[in-house]
Amino acid sequence: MNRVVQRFCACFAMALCLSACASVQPWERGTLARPEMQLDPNPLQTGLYEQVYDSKEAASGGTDTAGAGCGCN
Amino acid sequence: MDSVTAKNCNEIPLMKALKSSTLLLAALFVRTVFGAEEGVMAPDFTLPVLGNESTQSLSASHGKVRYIDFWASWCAPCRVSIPQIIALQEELGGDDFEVVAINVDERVEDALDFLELYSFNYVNLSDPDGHVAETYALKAMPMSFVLDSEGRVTLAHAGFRRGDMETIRAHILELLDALPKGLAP
Repeated sequence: MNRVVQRFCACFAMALCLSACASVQPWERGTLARPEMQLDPNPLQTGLYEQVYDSKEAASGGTDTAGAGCGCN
Repeated sequence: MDSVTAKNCNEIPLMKALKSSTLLLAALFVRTVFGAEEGVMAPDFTLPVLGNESTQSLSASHGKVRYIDFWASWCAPCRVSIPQIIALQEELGGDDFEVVAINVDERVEDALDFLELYSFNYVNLSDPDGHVAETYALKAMPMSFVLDSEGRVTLAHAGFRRGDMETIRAHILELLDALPKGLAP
C-alpha cells in the first residue's frame, strides 16, 4: 500500500515537472505584445469590414472576444 | 507490540514520500511567495544606466524616499504613467526624494528608442534579463514600489490607471513629512 502511495506521489511530482505549460511572467510579455502576435493582424481593417457587415445585416455585436496582447494590468 | 512496530516502520517511507513531495511543491512555487512585499526591506541591485556605460545601485540613494518604477516600451499603461512620474520627479525630486526607473525590455534598442519620446528627468536603468524584476516578484506591468528613507517597501502598486498617481503621491508626501525636520522640502 505504501509503495502505491509512494509511486503516486512520485508520478504526481514528475507530472508537475513535465508540464508543457510555462507561466509567462509580467516582465516577459514583450514578445506577446508585438503586432505580429496579435490575433487580429489589422484591427482597423477588421473594424471597417464589421461596419459594412453590420450595415448589410442590420445587426451588430457578437464579433469580439478578449485575448492576446501583453496582458498589462 | 510487534504489530505496532511494523505499522510504524511502514509509516516511515510514507512520511518520507509525503515530506519529499511537499518540499518539491514548495520549491516549485517559492518564486511566487517571495518578493518585495510591503513591510520588507527592498532588495538591493546594481544595474547599467540606459544610454551610457555607467551603473547605479539602489543603495547609492539610501536615505531618500524612493519611487521604483518597472516599465517596458511595449507596455501600454506605462505610457500613461511615465508623464505623471516625470511630473512627480519635477515636483518632489531632490535631496529627499528620487525616482528610480527600471526598464525590462529584452531588446535594449527598443528602450533607447522609447527614451527619445519623453523628456525623462530621472535615471532609467536596464534589466533586460529580468533578474531584478524576478527578485521583486512583479505581479503586473507596470509595477512600482515606494521605499521609505531606510529602504523599506511601504507601498507596492501593480498596474497603472488614471488617478493612481494621486494615491501614490499622497503616500510619498506622508513619508516626506515623517522625515526629520529640516530635511523635508
